[in-house]
Amino acid sequence: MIEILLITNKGDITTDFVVSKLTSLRVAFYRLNTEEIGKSVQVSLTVNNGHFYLYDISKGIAINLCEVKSVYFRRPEIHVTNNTLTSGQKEFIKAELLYTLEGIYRILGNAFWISNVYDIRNAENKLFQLILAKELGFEIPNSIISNHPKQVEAFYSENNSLCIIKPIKSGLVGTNNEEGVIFTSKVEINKQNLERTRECPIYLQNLIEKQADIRVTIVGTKLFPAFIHSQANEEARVDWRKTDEILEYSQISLPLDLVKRCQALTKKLNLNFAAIDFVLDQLGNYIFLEINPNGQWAWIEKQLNFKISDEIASLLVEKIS
Amino acid sequence: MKPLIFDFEIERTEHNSVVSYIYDEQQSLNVYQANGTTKPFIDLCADDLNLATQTRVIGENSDASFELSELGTKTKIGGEKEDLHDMLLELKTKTFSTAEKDD
Repeated sequence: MIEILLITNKGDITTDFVVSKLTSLRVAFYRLNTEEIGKSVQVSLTVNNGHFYLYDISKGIAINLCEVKSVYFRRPEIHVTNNTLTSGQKEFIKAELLYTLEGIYRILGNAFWISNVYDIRNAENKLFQLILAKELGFEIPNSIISNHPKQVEAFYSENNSLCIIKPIKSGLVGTNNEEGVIFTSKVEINKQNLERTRECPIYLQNLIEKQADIRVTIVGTKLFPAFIHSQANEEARVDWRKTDEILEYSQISLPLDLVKRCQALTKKLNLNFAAIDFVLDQLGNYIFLEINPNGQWAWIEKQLNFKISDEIASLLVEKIS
Repeated sequence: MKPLIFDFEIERTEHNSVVSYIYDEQQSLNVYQANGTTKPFIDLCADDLNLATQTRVIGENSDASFELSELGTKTKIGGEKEDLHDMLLELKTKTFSTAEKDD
């Protein structure tokens, strides 16, 4: 009987870490690579008799969704590659597949999730995150999202003309991952470019002089805090993700009140996993930047020998015992 | 008029491919071949990587393969093999990706 389901795509290396742990624990699980629906994976969802099954043709197995007790939600993808279809027909098929997948999420609604897809979506809005973080007592940067040129100009001036600009949603530009990317960057607002803030709201924050960036990965209530030596690398100083070079990382201990706030934040958002980013400023203040409800973690596990995948696997297994 | 935010868009660059890996249905994870054996990609070790840089491994030109693209001439880490391994993994698991991709 398969009681653990991993929802992702084939290329998701991060899920490989969890697979490896579950395999070593000799626990039955199924990795649903959603792009395989329509290829090696078939679904049969019969409402009348509650017969909700996945069939993996390549493995020759059937998964009863009603028996699934734990779900690890990572990176589902849908690919429609049938070149005999028009683009409109491809879009139609894509929507049909997505809605089938949404139905599967609903069927799995009573299972334990890391984390539930609807909670992840709810937590993703950065403005909402900042409002919530402020309510919970985190220090946050001076922040504005605006397409009102005068307000933008005033904010910039109030922050000594030292601001960063960052995307409101995601840094990816275009539907293809390779097209373009926007990192957090230092910005200069002037008379020439101010008018170019009208069409699309911009997200500005005051530029904080850093000691370091802090990435706190949380699984359940367990924290894995990492000190990222971003200031030692010129390209990583404003946004540590920007560099292709390996950064130096260290394990750190967080102040107890900050630990409790992180736990309170994930609890408030009903998340069983999160990656929270802070700036550690020159005065030793931890300033909340954002919470990534389904963020990346495998590289930092490797760098700092964190037991993140063990913790994820343990939580998944705990719920089936 | 170009919205201001696009002043900060940079192209995501593709570098020379060093290692290819392929999804193994039976193990439910990605693997690569080195020294005649198949190993999980996440267990990639420095010696295997060294070999992989000399001879490309499995899955090339296959729809099922995923090329791991970095290094090549852009690498700034020279011959440090441990660093090389860390870098491969870091780039693959740190960088941007969409939470739910539908195309």
